[in-house]
Amino acid sequence: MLRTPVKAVLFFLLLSAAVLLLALGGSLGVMTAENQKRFDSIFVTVGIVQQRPLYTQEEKDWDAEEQDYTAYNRPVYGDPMDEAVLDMEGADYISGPENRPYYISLHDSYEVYDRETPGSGGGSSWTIAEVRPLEDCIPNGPVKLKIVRTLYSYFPVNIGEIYFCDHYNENPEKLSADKTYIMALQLNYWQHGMFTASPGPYESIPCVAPSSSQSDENGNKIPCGLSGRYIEEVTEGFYETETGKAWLELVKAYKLADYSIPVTPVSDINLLMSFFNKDAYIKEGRSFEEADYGEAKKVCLISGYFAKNNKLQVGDKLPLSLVMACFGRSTQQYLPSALLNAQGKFYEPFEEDEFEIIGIYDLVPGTDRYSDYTLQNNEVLIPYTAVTGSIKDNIACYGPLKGYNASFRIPNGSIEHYKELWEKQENEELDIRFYDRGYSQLKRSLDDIRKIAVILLVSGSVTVLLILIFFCHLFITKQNKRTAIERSLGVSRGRCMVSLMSAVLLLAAAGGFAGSVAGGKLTGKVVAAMEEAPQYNRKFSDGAVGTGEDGNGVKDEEEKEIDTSVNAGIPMAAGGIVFIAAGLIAYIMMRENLKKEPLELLTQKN
Amino acid sequence: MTDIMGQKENGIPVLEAENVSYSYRTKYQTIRALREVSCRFEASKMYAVVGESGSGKSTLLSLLAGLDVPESGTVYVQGENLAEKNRDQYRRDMACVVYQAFHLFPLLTALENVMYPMELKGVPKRQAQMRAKEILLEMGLGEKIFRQFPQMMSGGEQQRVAIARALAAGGKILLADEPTGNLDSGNEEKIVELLKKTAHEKGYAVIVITHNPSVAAEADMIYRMKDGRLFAE
Repeated sequence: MLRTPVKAVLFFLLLSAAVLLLALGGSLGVMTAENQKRFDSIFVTVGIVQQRPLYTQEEKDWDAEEQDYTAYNRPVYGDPMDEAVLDMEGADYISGPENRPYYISLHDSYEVYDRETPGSGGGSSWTIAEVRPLEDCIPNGPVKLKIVRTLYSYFPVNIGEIYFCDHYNENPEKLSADKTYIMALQLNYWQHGMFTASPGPYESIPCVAPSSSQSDENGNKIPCGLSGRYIEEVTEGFYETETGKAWLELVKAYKLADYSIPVTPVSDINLLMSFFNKDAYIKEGRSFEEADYGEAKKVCLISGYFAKNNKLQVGDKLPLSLVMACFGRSTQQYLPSALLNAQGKFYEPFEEDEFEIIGIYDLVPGTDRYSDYTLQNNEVLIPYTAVTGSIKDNIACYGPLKGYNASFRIPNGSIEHYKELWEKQENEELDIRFYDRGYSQLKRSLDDIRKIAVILLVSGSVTVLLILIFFCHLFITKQNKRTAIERSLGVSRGRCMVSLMSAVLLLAAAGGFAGSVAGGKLTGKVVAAMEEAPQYNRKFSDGAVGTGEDGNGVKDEEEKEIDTSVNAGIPMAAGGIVFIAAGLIAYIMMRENLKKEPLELLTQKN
Repeated sequence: MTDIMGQKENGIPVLEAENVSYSYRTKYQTIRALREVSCRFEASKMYAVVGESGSGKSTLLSLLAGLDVPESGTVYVQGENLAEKNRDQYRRDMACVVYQAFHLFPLLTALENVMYPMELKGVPKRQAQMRAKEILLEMGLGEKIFRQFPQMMSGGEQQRVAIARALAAGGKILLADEPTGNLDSGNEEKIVELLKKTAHEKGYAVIVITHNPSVAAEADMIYRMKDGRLFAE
């Protein structure tokens, strides 16, 4: 072969170039596959479901200061929809769809406020008290009342006289100075003329009445006999009456509520947008695992805030006594306004057990703590399956499907497929928004790179094959007479084979190596160029079906980049494969050469 | 015509074929190329095998050179069954073939072509080079041809280099397939002379397959092939 340097050099150069294509294609292909695998493991695609309001209704609230109504628009929803409407053939759910309630757990051991940090606040400003007007009055403006007995107050109330205004009632009833009334007050809520030069006194307003919003499992409100009146006259034997008993139950409920926390059952932690968006993170212990969900383990995740206030650690047991289940509300709207059941009683627990704390989560600084999608300060998370008690008598409220509690998870890259399925349902009542943290965009980029890789691999493979066949033909098949002469001179078949193949393999090895090295370097440059290109600068993306109110603003903080590190083994493997292919082709051709009788070849006329 | 087996008592044959038959298949028929051929070849003699095209001459050469094995019958080399010997080694050490089309390695010089069989046998390069030069000079080729490639030489020169390469192996049998077929009459004479010299002076058993009656006439013994059978003349 050294005697045909032009052919040898040409073979080397062409093979190197073809191996370069192969190495580049292979490296890009493997890089794409590895990135795809990595993205599939770190990315999550969720859909959040929101029931569309049927219409918007204008409502009016009386404003005692303005002596006029204040109008506002309120969305009016139809009957709460069942998440089962999302059960579609072909929908490949990983988790859900689920309509998560949150539960309320009561326990007198809970410390729900940070009492150690001065100024950290906490505690309800609501007070249930018996009051008596100083004089007969109609509370359509500030009137003076005397608190004669405090039935409930988080903070000690020792203020004697207060100003009171039935602020949102256009026609408040007359209060008599010789009568005692019970009312739930929000103390010092309002100040008439607040923005004027001569503001009035701070006044308290009535804020709640014994009432019930208990619903059945289908979301239908259960009728109750409670009056729903904000102010009741306390007469002799009042607390023996049904109304009086209801007020006492309300007092009890409020007392208990100061030791309550929201508990959210979840079948996939990624369905909680705080975790999906990486606003929440596990700072100690671990998150839920498949076994926790599958085996309905009594385990829980608690917030760092709750852990600190209650001096809890991973591994401790947390007693949960679940009394209420609330649908259609977020834990930011914690505690329903109606804490009593349809019988005017406080709810009995439907589940009481100890849950092992397996992890403590926290929110990253800067998280919007008031978003409906954000976990509440004391929120406890448990596996959905861990609650076995029936909630049917403990549904304290029910509402439409909302993005913060109705969601599902589907495989990455299946948003378009899901959208097609959903469009076939022709359901206009639900708004579905998808969030995949930018997976779709990254996938598109990876698909582009994969196409390039396939083109390079195919063209490289074909080129390599053609080059090998052509040059093996030149160096081996066309040398059949040489082989025949060698055979007639007594060279064994094996030695003939080694003699010709070694030269081909030597050049193939050199070409393969050179092409591999060049391919490796070129891959580095190509991916570097890709990194610089703006289309490879990835941000989170989301897709939406239909229009409607915007979901929670998914943060763009985190950026997922394509890992452009090149595995040096891939170009070398390409070179190795080419070397093996060269050996195989050369061997086949050599065998064909050796099959022919030397004399037959050598006696042929040229 | 005489039965050639009668020669057995005259001396020790270097090469001998006994009842050798061979047939090969074409797409449409099986051709019996050799039919129970028997012959013997002694050292220091030049033999000519003549016959029409397709009579089986080349097949016989192939079997005698150990490039193929007979279907039946035996080829003996110095009394040993060739089929039981290493036939590659046999060609390396004992028998070499010269062809009508010379078949020199086109990318090797005349000197390298002659050195090649010696290198195969492990003769050191320097020694092989010296011996190759000697043989080439014996073939009547001048030094200027040493570094010439085959395509730069005349037909006669190429055939002489081919004979030199055959002799370089240092065997006892030289098989020549139409060695003068591509040469003019001047070169033909030179080659025939060289072959005779190889037989008579170097002690080779030289077996020449030829169509040419003038070449055959120079042989010590002539065999004629007809329809796969061999007859001594």
